[in-house]
Amino acid sequence: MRQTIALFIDAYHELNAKKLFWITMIFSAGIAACFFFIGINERGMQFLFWDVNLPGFNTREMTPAAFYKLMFSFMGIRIYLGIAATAIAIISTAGVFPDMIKEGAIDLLLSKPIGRLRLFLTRYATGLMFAFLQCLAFTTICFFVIGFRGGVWEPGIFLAVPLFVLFFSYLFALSVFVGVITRSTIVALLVTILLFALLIGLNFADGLVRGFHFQAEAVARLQEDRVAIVDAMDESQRAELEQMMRQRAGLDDTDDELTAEEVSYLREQVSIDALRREAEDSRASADSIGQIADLMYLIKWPLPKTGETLSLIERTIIRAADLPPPDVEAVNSPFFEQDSETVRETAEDLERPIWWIVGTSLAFEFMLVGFAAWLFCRRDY
Amino acid sequence: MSANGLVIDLKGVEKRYGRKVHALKGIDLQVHGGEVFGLLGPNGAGKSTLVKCMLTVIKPTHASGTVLGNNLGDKPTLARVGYLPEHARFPKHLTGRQVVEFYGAMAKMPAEQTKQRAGELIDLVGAHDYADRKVGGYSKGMQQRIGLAQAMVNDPDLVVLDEPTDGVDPVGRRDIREVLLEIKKRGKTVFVNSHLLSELELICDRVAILVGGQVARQGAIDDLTMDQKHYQVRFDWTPDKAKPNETAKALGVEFRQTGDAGGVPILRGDQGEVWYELHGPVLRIGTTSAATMQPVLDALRGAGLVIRAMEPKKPSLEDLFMQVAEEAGLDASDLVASEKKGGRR
Repeated sequence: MRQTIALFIDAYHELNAKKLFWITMIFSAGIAACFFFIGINERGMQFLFWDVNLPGFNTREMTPAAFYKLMFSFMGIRIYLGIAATAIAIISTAGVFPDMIKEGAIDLLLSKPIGRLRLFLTRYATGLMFAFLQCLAFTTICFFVIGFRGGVWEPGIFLAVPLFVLFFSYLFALSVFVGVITRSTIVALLVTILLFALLIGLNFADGLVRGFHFQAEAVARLQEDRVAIVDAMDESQRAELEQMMRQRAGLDDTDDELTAEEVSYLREQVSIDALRREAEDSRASADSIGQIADLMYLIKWPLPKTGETLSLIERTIIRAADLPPPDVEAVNSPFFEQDSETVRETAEDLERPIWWIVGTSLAFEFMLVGFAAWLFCRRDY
Repeated sequence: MSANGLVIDLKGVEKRYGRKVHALKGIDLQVHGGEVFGLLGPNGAGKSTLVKCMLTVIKPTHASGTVLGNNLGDKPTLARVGYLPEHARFPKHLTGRQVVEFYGAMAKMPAEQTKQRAGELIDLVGAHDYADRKVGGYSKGMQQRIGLAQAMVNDPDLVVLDEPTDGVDPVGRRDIREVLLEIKKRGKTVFVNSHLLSELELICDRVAILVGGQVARQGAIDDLTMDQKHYQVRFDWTPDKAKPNETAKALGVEFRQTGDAGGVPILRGDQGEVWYELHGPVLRIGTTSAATMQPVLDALRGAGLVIRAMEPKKPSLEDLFMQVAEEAGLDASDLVASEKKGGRR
């Protein structure tokens, strides 16, 4: 235990000596301070003395507590912690292992009564300390901002700390893996930043594909539902429905102004058969997009799920802290108004399971860390 | 310490890197408790590799033996060992005092005891003035002093130092030498790797010379140099006006050339158990007996050769080292080359 404590204290001294650590801390405080200076009233949002009017962002439609929690969830987690803070943490921790295994430094550590695996794992844990302290400081400040400005004291947001450390650990694992193999801080940094950028791009593309897939699948299911309802009707009910459809489309009123061919064509378009054709087209379209989504799913299988883990943080924080859901627009979509149950089921079916998000990411991490640990334990220095 | 009083007792330590490099070729080495032991050899001879094998930094291909009475590679034993590696690299973000305390903690020393010992040792190595400054700004000499302090912080029974005076100025070297003798005085065993033979000679009780991954010599310096002790006679002539024929005739020996140094041939001859070596105006006679020297001097004078001086000579550790290197087929350029080659494989 004495050795573990010593290694953590040393890591703290190392962080303390790094300018980047303090720059990050000041940056975190600055962002949280910005949250503090953003207000919300009946008319809209306020930043210091300026009014910023965005639809939906006023106290008539949203409580101040919900507003600040939303800012923490989207600006704090998704943008700041998910991108800026992570990039800084990657830069700050890239040298943790290459520095330790330099000749003259590693000799001193290995000549002490500590096992190699324990030394490796403790050092790995100290590397995660940067992300931990960074997120803890940011969340603490946000906790007070939400408390003072929003009037709600919400300890549930501190769940962001372990979840962010988990998120960062995927990338840190790669940094350690490359650092142990190459013994180079620069190479470890470049490869990790490259993967991080690749994952951001991949997540963006995946997000688009999934968005389209969700829309197409929801439309297809809604139309299939309608066809199923029609199929269950008897002849007279169908005739009544077709007449109702034509009336709704205004075709009966325009019969006199159109030629017989046009009327026939339009009646064909607004008919039960057309409904079936549309349902088949929508299904084909949803299946095509589904294939692309499946391909993305396959590509992402072996990779760490950084985007999904961030969403998981948001979801967990929302559940724990009663934040408003980030996908506010989806609630107002026409699907929800009409067939919210089908859309909700579609969203649930297409949602990626937690075991896949965390399980495959941890598998990626364990594989890299395991190989790096094996190499570290076997190698001569 | 083991029952036979050996602090280090290595048998057949072998280390191979792949198929081509055979760094250690079966090292047998014994170090007694309370002595200062020196390990010499050109860089690339395997000195650092051997030390690293003892301290589990490198895993030997094959090895048996004990360190402090426990099997080689036993991790808990390392709590009783202090180590200063060559080119030691301390955490730059720590002060000298924090470095000593950190490695004390890594050797499982209780916190209070570590603090107290760190203070004492910093005074002992003369690092008091800068102990509370960050190590990143230290000179090499300052780092070595702090390195010595951290190697002793756990009050070890065995202190292993790899090139402790490397890059240190003469005053620093003298101070380090005194610290080593102080450690010895406290009953500890010191194992030193060094190129600086003259320094080792001043402090070592016993030495081993490692050449090409093998122990070429091992023992007390006096014992190792015993057969090299001789008398030296200096004639009153310049190197270019040597009189080898007259000298050989006076001594009744036949000289044969065994080499040359500085363009002057080295001639060697034997008579019974006594050897003679003539190099320019210097004649070396392989005996430690003053009585044996009397007829030799008479013969030389009788032949009209003028003697300027005569003195008994004890070979230095450097002489011994050079002799071993010569036997191993290494010349001066090999020694320089091997120094450049040293380091990570």
